[in-house]
This record gives sequence, structure tokens and C-alpha cells, in this order.
Amino acid sequence: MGVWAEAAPRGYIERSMADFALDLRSVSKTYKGRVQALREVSLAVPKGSVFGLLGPNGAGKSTLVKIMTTVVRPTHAEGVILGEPIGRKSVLARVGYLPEHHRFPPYLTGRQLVEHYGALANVPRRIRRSRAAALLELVGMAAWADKRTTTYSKGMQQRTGIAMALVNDPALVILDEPTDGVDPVGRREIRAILQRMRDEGRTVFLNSHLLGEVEMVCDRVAVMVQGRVVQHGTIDELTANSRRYEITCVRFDAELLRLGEREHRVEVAGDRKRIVIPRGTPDDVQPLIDELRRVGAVITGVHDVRESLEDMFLRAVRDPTTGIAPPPGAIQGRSSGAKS
Amino acid sequence: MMQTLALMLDAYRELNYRRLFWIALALSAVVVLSVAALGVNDRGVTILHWTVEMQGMNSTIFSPALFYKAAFVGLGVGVWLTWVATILALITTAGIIPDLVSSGSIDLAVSKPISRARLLLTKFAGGLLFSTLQVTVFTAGSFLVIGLRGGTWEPGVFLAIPLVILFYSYLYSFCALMGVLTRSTVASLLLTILFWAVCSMFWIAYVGVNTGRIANDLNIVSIERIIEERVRDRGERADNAKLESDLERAKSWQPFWNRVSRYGEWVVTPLPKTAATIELLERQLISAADLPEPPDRGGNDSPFAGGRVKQRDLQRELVAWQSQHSPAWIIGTSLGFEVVVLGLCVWIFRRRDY
Repeated sequence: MGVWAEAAPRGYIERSMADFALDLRSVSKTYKGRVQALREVSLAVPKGSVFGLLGPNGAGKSTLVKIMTTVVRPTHAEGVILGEPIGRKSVLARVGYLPEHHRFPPYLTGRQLVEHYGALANVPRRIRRSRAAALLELVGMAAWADKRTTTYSKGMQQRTGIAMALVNDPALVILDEPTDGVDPVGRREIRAILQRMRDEGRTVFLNSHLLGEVEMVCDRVAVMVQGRVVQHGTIDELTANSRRYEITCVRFDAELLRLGEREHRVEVAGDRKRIVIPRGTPDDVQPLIDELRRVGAVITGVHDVRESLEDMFLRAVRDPTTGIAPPPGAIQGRSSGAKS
Repeated sequence: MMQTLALMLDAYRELNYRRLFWIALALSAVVVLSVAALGVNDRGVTILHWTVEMQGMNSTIFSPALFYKAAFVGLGVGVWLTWVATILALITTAGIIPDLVSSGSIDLAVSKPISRARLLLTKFAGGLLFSTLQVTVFTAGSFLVIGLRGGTWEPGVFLAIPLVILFYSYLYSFCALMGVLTRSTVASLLLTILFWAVCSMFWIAYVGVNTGRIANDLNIVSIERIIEERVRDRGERADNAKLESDLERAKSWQPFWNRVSRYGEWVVTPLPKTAATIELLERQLISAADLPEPPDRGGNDSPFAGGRVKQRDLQRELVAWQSQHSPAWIIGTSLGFEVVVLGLCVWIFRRRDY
């Protein structure tokens, strides 16, 4: 399996082991028919963090996850997962994985399912039995544990799937759309489970379309578009450029304001005016408040504003010059070999 | 080991879930009980306490032990296990590999710390579990029937277990390959049955060709003997022109039969020998000496070679020819096929993206 580029330098592995649960370099995948699903993707996920991978349909998110879990063979891949070269089967004993469109064997009960996949992950029998009971309790499926999974709703299957992904006490948990089909109460419970995983020191790799969910639980995110990572960092870092202060006020003449060289703009909506200070800090705002008082304005609100993850996502996936989002799906054609 | 046990337990649960497994098991019990209900006495065959009078089938010709052994080999193994139960087994297990490689299921399996080759081969072994359980229950029941009703305890019947599993494994390896390639239960089932039919046809054709060859050889021997007898009896006055012409023609066919027989051997050697594998059980359990001699109805009972070859002689020669195929050749070449097919199956499964 040379495509996995197993010859990662020792120093590189040791450095990655210390800091990152996942450190991928130049991961590429071209499917038959020259469909470029991934184009030299590089990602680093710090240990103990909750990481969100975002992207439109066909961006390559699931392919990346499948390469990490050896379901798909990369065209080229370097990097480490939990200190071992990517593609090595042994590391999967410490990885929990819930695929997006999973299909559980219809003949298994929830308990049997969790125990079966625990056994495949080399968890000793006594441990997997007690762990299965505890995990099914944790995800709220204890009462249904001995019923066949065919009788479960989609949300119940997701909960059981999360229990299955945790049965081997993984250091890295990869969840592909874990809240898909789960009701709002269940989503909140799953968020709580994700936060608990982080508190326990696990690294969580979350693949989700639900940006609100990702924003609530993720420490870091990456945005993929057409097989490349176009944004990567903490949510604060990614939205820092959009940070601004907005002061809303009434009853004043904007012409009287003397703000010197300070960058600002005034938006008028009827009697109400909004003064926007891009990338402002609290210190930048104080003189403006003084100036507004001087001209007799009545300040109705001062807001520290930044764009939401959804705004950032839409900005990231759109072409900066045309403002048009790319069509769904991967790029078809010869591999460009360009760096992301 | 833990993973292998988990996969085998999973295979058992899967079979247990499929009703056809229990239906086939119940039908096996019915077949065993049906054979137990049969018997043989000096007037014919008995069914429970009724007697159906048969001249050619009674205890003066067939001892009860031979009757039950023949029923086990001919009806139990030859018909039930190798045809009906095998088709039921294929219907039940054909979905195991396509289910494994189906979207959503394969991700869960291959993302575990188990090699793909081991995963696939253990699933394959799980599919054989069906056949193993069926044949074990059937053979144990038959052992009791032969012992209790036939009065002889014949441990040799347990040879049916490995032989039937072997026979089924040839077909199931092909079914697994079709499952990996097509990912469809229906397609892999139908293609396997088609392959089985093709293999059987090749084998039947091979046996047919050799029957022709042996009949031709016997015809030559027969004509030469007749000519020799005539010359001895009548001297130079004997008119052997037609016989010599027949002999010439038969000898001219010999190279053709030998060539076709050789080609036939080349064709069947790499294929799995399903029928021949099952016939090994008959060879082991029932010796030719145990069977009553077919009645000798003179020289005109064979459709071969203008009636000069006796059916009985042809049968004897055919049995002798078949016994030239050693168990090692039959099983070895069939297993060779299985290894190649499974190797291809594993190679494709390991390299494929899901």
C-alpha cells in the first residue's frame, strides 16, 4: 500500500504525537473517471479538541474521512493519526467511527451491535459488555438495548451508532453527520456528549452540514471546497476579519461628526442611524461615543458584531470575484497537483 | 482470535435470523425420518408397516444395512444434500458477501483493526457454517437411522460432512467472487447456479466422451474375440469381412476418442468437480462387491457398438475408469480452483474503494 506513504520521518511522527491527534499532509484522491475528490489536502487537529469539517456537497469531506478510516485508498497520502502513519490498521483500535449513511445488520439488537463492533476493535469481552451497557445508558438507549435495530427510528440509530463508536474507548472519534435525523432534544444531548468527550481528553472529528451545531461545539473548523481546504483555524481566527462594532443612535446630524482618519461608515434607516467601525476594538469605540454625545445623539445600542459561521462558510465557498458558489460535486479532469 | 469469533458469532446470528435456515434444517429432519420410515424385507420395500412388493429390491438382494447406506448415499446425499439443500443454502447465504460490501455496512466493517482479507475470508467461512450445520445434523440423524434400522453402525457416513462442505465451498467461493464483483445477492445467486450447471454439463460431457471411448475399446476387443473364435471354430472358411470392416472402423475411431477424452480432461481439470466429490462418499461407503450384479441379458443389451458390448462390462469399465481419478486429484484440482477464485476475490476486495 505505497499510496499511504508510510515512510513518514521519525521526527515528524514524534512531533505530531505530542501535539496533534491528526496531522495530514498532501492527501489526494482521484477516483476512476478522473474525478478529483481530494487535491493535496493538509489538516492538523490538536489533541483534545472538537474539530468540525465543513463543506458543500461533493467537497470531499466523506472521502477524507474514509481515507482516515481506510475505507478508501488514497491516491497519495502522508501524515499521522494518533502517532501512526495514516492507513495503518492497528491505529483503528483507538479510533471510533460513525459513518454518515450507515446500515446496521438487521439481525442485531442495539446491545449486540455495540458489543460486536467492540469485539472487532479488540475490546475484551467483559469490558465491552460493561461498556456497552454504560454507553447505551449514556445515549439514552438503555430501554431499547435488547430490541433489534430495525425497530429503531433514525435518531435512535444515530444514538446507538455513537455508542458503537465509543465502545473501544477511542482517543479519536470521527462522526459523520451524527445529528442527522435526531430531534432537537436529542441534538442537545449529543452536543453534551461531544463536550463530555472533549472534557475526557478525546479528540472529536465532526463532519456536519449543521453549521449552528458545529459553531456550538467545535474549537476548530476547516472548510473544504472542491477537494481543497480553503479555510482552517479556530472560529475566532476565521471570523476575526469580520469583527466590527456597531453603534445605533437617533436624533443627530451625521455631518457634524468629526472622526478624523478613523475608518467608519454610517448607515441610515429612517430616523435610526448605525455607525459601523470595521475590525474595531473597545478602545476604538470610546472616542466615537464621546463624539456622538457631543453632537447630541441618543445612543440606543453598542454591539460587538462578528459574522456567524454560516456567513463565514458562505463567504468561503463563494468565488471572491464573482460571488458565485461552485456547483456541487468534485472536479473532473486531470490532477492539477496544485497545493491547497 | 477475538475478531474471528465475533465474525463467526455474527454469521450464526445472521443465519439464525433467516427463516430459510430453520426451514432447511426442518426439511433435513423430514428427509431423515422419511428414510427411517422405509425398510426392506424379503418381499420388497416397506413403508412403516406397509409392504410394496418389488422383485429387484428386497432383502434377498439388498441387506438392510446396504439398503440404508444406499438410501443415505443416493437419496440423502446425492439428491437432498447436493441438490435441494445446496440450492437452499445458496439462497440463504448468497447475500452474506453482497451485504458486507453494501454501502453503509462496509464502512463499519473495514474501519476496524482487521485486515480486509481476514474479514472477507471469515465471512466466507461464516457462509459455510450453514452447510456445516445442515450436513452435520443430517449425517448424525442418518447415522442413527442406519444403526437402528439397518443394524450396522457405520462411522464412515460422517465422511459426508467434510465432502459436502468441500462441495459447497467450491460453489460458495464462486458465489463470493460474484458477490464482490456485482454487490448483488440475486446476481451472485443466479450466476453461481449457472456456473454450477456449466460445470455439471462439462463433467457429464466428459463422462459421456469417456463412455464412448471405453465402449469403442470394448467393441474392438469384442470383435477381435469373435473373429478369433470364428477362425478357431471354422478355420479359413469363416467369412469375417463385415467383422473386419467393423473392426477397422472402430480402430479408426480410437484416435478421435482418445483425443476428445484428452481435451475433456484438460477442460475439467481446472474446474471444481462437484459430482465427483460427492461420488467419493459412495466409493467409500459402498464397495462394488456389496452391490448385486446387474442381470446378464446376453450380448444385445447395450446400445453401444451394435450390441456387441455388454452393459455390465461397460459399467464395470466405467467404474474402473472413474476410480482412476484419485480423491487427491478430484479434491486437489477442485481446491486449486477454489484457492484461485478466493484469491481473486480477496485481491479485488482489498483494492476496492467503498
